[in-house]
Amino acid sequence: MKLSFCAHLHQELSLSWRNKSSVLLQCTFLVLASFLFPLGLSDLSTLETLAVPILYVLALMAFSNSFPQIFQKDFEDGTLTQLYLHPVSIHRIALIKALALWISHGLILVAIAPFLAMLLKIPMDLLPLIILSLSLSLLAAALIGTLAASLTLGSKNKFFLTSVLVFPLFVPLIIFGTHAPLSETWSPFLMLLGLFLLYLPISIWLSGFALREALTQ
Amino acid sequence: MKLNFFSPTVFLRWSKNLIPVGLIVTTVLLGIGLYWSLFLSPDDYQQGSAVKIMYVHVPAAWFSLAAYAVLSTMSALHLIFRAPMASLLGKASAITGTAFTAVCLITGSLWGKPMWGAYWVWDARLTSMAILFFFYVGYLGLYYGFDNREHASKMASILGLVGAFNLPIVKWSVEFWSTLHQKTSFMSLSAPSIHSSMLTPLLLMAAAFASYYGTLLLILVRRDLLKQKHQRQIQTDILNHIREAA
Amino acid sequence: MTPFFSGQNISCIRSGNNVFSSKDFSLNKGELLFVTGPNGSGKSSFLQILSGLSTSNQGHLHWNGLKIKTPSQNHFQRLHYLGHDRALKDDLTPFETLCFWSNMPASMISDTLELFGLNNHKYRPIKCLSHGQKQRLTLARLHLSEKPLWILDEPTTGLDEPSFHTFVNALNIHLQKGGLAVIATHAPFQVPFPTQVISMTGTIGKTL
Repeated sequence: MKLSFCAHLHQELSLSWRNKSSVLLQCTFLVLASFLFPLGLSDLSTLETLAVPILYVLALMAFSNSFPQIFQKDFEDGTLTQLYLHPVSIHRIALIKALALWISHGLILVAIAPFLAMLLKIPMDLLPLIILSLSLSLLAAALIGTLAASLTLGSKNKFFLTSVLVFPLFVPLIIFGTHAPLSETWSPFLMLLGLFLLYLPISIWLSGFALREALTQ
Repeated sequence: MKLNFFSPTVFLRWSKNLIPVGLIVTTVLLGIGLYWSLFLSPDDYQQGSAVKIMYVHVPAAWFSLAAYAVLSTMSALHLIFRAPMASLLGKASAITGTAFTAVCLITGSLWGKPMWGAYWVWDARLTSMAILFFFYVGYLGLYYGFDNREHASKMASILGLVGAFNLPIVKWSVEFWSTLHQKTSFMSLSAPSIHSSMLTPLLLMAAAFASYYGTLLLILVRRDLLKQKHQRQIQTDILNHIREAA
Repeated sequence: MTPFFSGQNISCIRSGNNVFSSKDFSLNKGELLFVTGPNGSGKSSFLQILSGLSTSNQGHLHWNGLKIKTPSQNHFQRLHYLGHDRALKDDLTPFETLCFWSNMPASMISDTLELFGLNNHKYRPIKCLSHGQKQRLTLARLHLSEKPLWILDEPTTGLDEPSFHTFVNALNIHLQKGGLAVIATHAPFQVPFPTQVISMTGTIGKTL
């Protein structure tokens, strides 16, 4: 009675699709913020220099809004325990959550990036590079968020803790992610890819460990 | 695998004698160090007497990083060997490390005002320190964020382990970032080219900080161990009371 | 005859409190163990130790003569655990839920749903079901799992008379096939199979 990887991922994505509230919330936040920034500037020529960092920071912050809740519902309604006992490898559970988060929440943000680029007056020829670096950054961010969520599972002040944990880990993503579309070489992209490849085993391994501790305490 | 690492009883016995010694050594070193740095060391030809903030700022920076290294090592030991003393040492390091980082940030800010007229400068060191401060806050937040202390210490140790990889990456990426916008003025709060007349007070202050750090570790861990012992004693008393009443 | 599933000197200490200690049991194929006791006496903790979710502070569990080291994937593979949380997703339908947890063909799933009286609600989201219907769905999922060991924490709460009988029938089929069951309940019931009862006394501070 094995649960296949695809069936598990499919269930996660179906649940996201049927309850779109968190996805809609983050997209609304991003769109509204992109409207408010230009409205706040008295000199719109400065918008050009600020546009790419604004887009990045807002996208990552919108994405991180959903981090505290990654495992919360499953933990509360017993699904996490049932999956663990099924048995499904706890590391696979973490991996599927991260992947589902990236697909359901992250790629949506990438999809509305062109619209936001238009609002923030980002030159259109930068768009393919922005989409690529944003996708990579959000992929690494999903791994970071999964780790932070698994560490804070069952804690008080979850929102505060998750934000504080995630911030130092986001710094390299912001630095290289915003630099990537504007640089002449591929090296920032390679840095982002390197970060993703580094965070992948660390996040999945440690998230699994933390989740198991939370389930068996 | 249970490693008999720093058994609590041995620690309690040693710390009882070491703490008073540590306090005396710290006071002496701090006294000499401060006197030397404030009154005997020369002013910098460029910065005037403001350079003397360096004698607190630089050792604070060194020891915030040292505390961080100890924290990471203790986290690894705690997770691999399940030694409870390791997590207590890690937490004590985190508390002292937070204090040192705060001192570094505040002195850096005070140094920035006479140097560049601003209380905050976005240079690589201060920015890295600010991120390190967040890291410490996260570690302590995890430690105190759960009712189950054992679970909390394990989660905090995992974060400590992550930090071992991550902080070098953050430091490196922040340095890369600061090279992007260092056009003309070389903004750096590192110590100016060290002349021997400046080196001695710096090393004295560093020694004072080291002694302070070590003594504080002893005090904090001892306090935690005694608290645990006390709680266990209370529980045994309650159980005995119930047994007698039954 | 060595018992199939047994535990010796099982004890549980939570936050310095002695929840229970020195519990022994042994179960063979086709046998049922009831765990009774007042609320807060540690029935759920006992079941969690038996399922491998927690570890006993002392003592060991054995399966078929071999010691079980927790956590053990092998042990998880042979048991189905029903906790207080029903592990149901509000936005899914009963049909999808059963498809997800058991790799059974659609016809078998439909039959099981009919057996537990959920045929009319097969394709409705679970948030529309009543408490009793959700309970029946959890039992339907249990019925479809082909695991030899059932560890159930108060499975009969919220069940009406007909559903209760459906559950007991399913339990009887399971025991007849050589399965084992451990059930925590306030009200043990009769089954035509060997039954034992363990009582959690519920006094904190009993001597170790």
